[in-house]
Amino acid sequence: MKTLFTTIAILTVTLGFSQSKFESAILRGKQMINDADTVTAMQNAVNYFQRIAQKETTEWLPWYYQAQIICFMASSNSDLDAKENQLNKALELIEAGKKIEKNAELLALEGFVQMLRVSVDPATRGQKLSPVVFGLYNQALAIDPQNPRARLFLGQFQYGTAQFFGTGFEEACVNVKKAYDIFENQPSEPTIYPSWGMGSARAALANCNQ
Amino acid sequence: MRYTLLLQFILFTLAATGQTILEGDVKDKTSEGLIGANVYIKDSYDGGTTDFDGHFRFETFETGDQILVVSFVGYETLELPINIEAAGNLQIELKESFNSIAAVTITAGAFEASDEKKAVVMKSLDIATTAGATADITGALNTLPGTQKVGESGRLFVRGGTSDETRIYIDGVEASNYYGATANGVPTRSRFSPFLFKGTFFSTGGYSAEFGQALSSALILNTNDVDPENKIDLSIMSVGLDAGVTRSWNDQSLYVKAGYMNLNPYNDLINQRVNWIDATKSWDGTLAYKKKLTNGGMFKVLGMTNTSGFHLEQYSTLSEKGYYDVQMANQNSFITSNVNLPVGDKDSFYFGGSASWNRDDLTYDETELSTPDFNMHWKAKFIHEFNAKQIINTGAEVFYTHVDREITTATDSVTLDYSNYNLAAYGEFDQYITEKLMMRFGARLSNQSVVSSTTLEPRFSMAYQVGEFAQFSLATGQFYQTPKKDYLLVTNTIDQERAQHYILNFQRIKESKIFRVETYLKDYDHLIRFQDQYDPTTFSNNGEGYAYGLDVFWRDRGGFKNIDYWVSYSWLKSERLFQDYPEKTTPGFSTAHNMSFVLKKFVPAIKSQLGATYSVTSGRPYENPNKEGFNESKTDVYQDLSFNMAFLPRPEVIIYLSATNLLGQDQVFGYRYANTPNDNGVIASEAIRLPAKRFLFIGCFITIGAFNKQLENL
Repeated sequence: MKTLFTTIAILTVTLGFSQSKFESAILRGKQMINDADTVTAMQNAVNYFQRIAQKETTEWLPWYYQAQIICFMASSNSDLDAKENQLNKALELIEAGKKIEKNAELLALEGFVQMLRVSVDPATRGQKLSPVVFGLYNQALAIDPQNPRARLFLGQFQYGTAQFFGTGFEEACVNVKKAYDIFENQPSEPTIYPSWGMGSARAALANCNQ
Repeated sequence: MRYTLLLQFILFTLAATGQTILEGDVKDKTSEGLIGANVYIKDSYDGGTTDFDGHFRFETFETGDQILVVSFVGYETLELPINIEAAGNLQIELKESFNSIAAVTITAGAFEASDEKKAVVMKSLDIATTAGATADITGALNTLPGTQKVGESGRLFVRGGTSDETRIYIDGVEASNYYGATANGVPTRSRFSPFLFKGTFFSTGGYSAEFGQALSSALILNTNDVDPENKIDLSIMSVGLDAGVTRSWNDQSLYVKAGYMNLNPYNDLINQRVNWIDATKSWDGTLAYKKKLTNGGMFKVLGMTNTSGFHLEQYSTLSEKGYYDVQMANQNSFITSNVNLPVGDKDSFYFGGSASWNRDDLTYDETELSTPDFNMHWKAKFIHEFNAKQIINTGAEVFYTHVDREITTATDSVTLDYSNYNLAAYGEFDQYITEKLMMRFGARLSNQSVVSSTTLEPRFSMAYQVGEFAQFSLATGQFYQTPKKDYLLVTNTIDQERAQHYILNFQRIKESKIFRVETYLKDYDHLIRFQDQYDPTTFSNNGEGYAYGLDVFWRDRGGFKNIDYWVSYSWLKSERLFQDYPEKTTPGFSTAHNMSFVLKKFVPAIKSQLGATYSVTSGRPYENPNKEGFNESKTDVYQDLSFNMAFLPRPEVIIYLSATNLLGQDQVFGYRYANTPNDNGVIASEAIRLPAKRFLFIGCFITIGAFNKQLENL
């Protein structure tokens, strides 16, 4: 009897371990993203999430994080052709994630990628892609009005638009402030879900308060 | 015993969680280490990334026989069966993958405007923002090499061909009656707004076997995909009003637009060379529905209807009463629908159809001409990818045309009509030898019922990339076309006309700079000739002709800050023996030299894009019956300097201003002659000019929605 209990205990531990393996892998990956300060480290993190994605075929998070890192790589890339390729790659990854679950986080990130695509060629893309970008943020917020990233990106895009046209920042800043408040009230314990953006929100809010 | 079992179980579990180190190197075929490759055990998290030497090393909890996956961008993913314990030092070589996006494309004869692809000459927006084009697709394409400016027409004339030699397609099916109704000397415009399309493919020759019935050129327009946002568009223009509503939901969108144009107020303000009794007035409606299908396909419908008319007196010394009375009424409807259905990764089906109804009622003094016609096109196509390097595109289509003419003069009345079925099938095979070399073999089989003629048209093209940015491509093929409506109404004992194209192209695109040079030869035969256009017994297919020349294009977007410009130059030599020409000579629509210089500059300080287009065209031949010979005279050089400005005061407002012929040049396109000599024995003439020296346009375009909708979410 004792043996049986021991066996069950071992099995439970083993099973329990395998259940949280995905979660701990994601948490470890998020730490890799935070620590990545070189292209090599970022590529390493992309590969890491690619491995999780091929194993966990019903999870959208590994696709999301791959796309997120590639976005970061693209945003600091000065070679426009390479940047364009990276952004297209990010869109592909987001599309793969959306096939599993079409949610606010993926839509917000897609808007973020499209925003970066505008910056590659603002003169020809601005007019056509601006509605696409706004559309994606609005879709994301329709699903989850409390998504801080969708709210923040929307505010930032409105800010940029207002800056270009020399119109007021009120609307943009309302969204930035709202995003900042949501970030502030985020629980501090680690989560496997996206939690980045607080720094940008603080910076955007500082701009608004100038 | 039990304890032994338990021990064994624990040991087994521990063994299962024991770690093995896997290491090795990933290299390309030149033994160069690949940096950043992903190496992992399939269906596990265990893996690593190669370092600067292509070396990898990682720990794994897996045991026994496993599959090692090695993946790296630009290389074929490798799956290698290994035994974890016996793996040793793994030496892996990756093969470069074939990337159809990076692969060479055929550019001979082809100009593409697209925002999606990189190696294109124009962006979609360019079509709308080219000065002098006044947001007309054809106007913008007329700034590209290979086109000849025929200012009084407004149509596309490509490499010595007539405007009838270009066919226009929307989403794969024919757009009949693409041009708006007009009368002699009043240039036409496309019925289709450039904003309906995401991409334009303009072929000046040597085009795909998928398209036929055009001796010179094919213009392929692709409509926008699902609109991303709800919005309302309002246009307030010097020539009319326009309002559109877009509704977007669940991967589908509906766009409805209505417009009214009236040029009377404008014509009253600006000096006109004709006496407008009633200027061009029109009503139009557009409907577009798009749905993204769950399997990745797309369904589209586009419908348009339009009614327009005008009445004018064209001053003429050749007319006894001093003017010709011209009155035009037009009714036109067009509908097209198509669906794209991908099946798996390798196959896709396309079905499309279009129908077009058109009726012009033209009164020219005492003569009335009524031209109701109906066109229909159905097409099915199938694309199969054997592998990334071998793709077949095949399809079948049927065109139906019915044309009526009622001609009434003071004394007489004639009714003519004909119908034609055109059945066609085509196949085209793309073979990539490498990413740098590809060939396309095609053929088209086509039957025309009205002239009882069947033709087989071979096509071939290839492209070869040299270095990183440059490529050569060539295209050749046979192109047949049924004689134009006016002739088929008179006789059906004629045959199709034919052209053979040979094109050699060099293109270099590096960053924002594009350089293209192209040389070509177009050989015409079986062209229609007649002595009397209304006497069927005088018709034959004995005509012939040729065109050869050189086209050069240079564009630099952003080489200078906020400046985008392009220069086109075409040299053309063309002669024809056709229609009622008594001898082989250069036709009136062919000009030896055509040059365009297009400049766009964004000025952030005034939030405006400024544009200018300068065009110059050498003299056009015309027939002067007072002189010996045929088409022996030439008009003066044609020049035009146009300007436009788009001012964006707010994100949702664009104010647009444009003006043509700033230099005020007297633009003469040819001369009309009297039928008989006057008392001095001279046949009197008068110049063909536009109805006004300049065209000015002011418009205000407002978009409500996309930018304001976020209010709802606050």
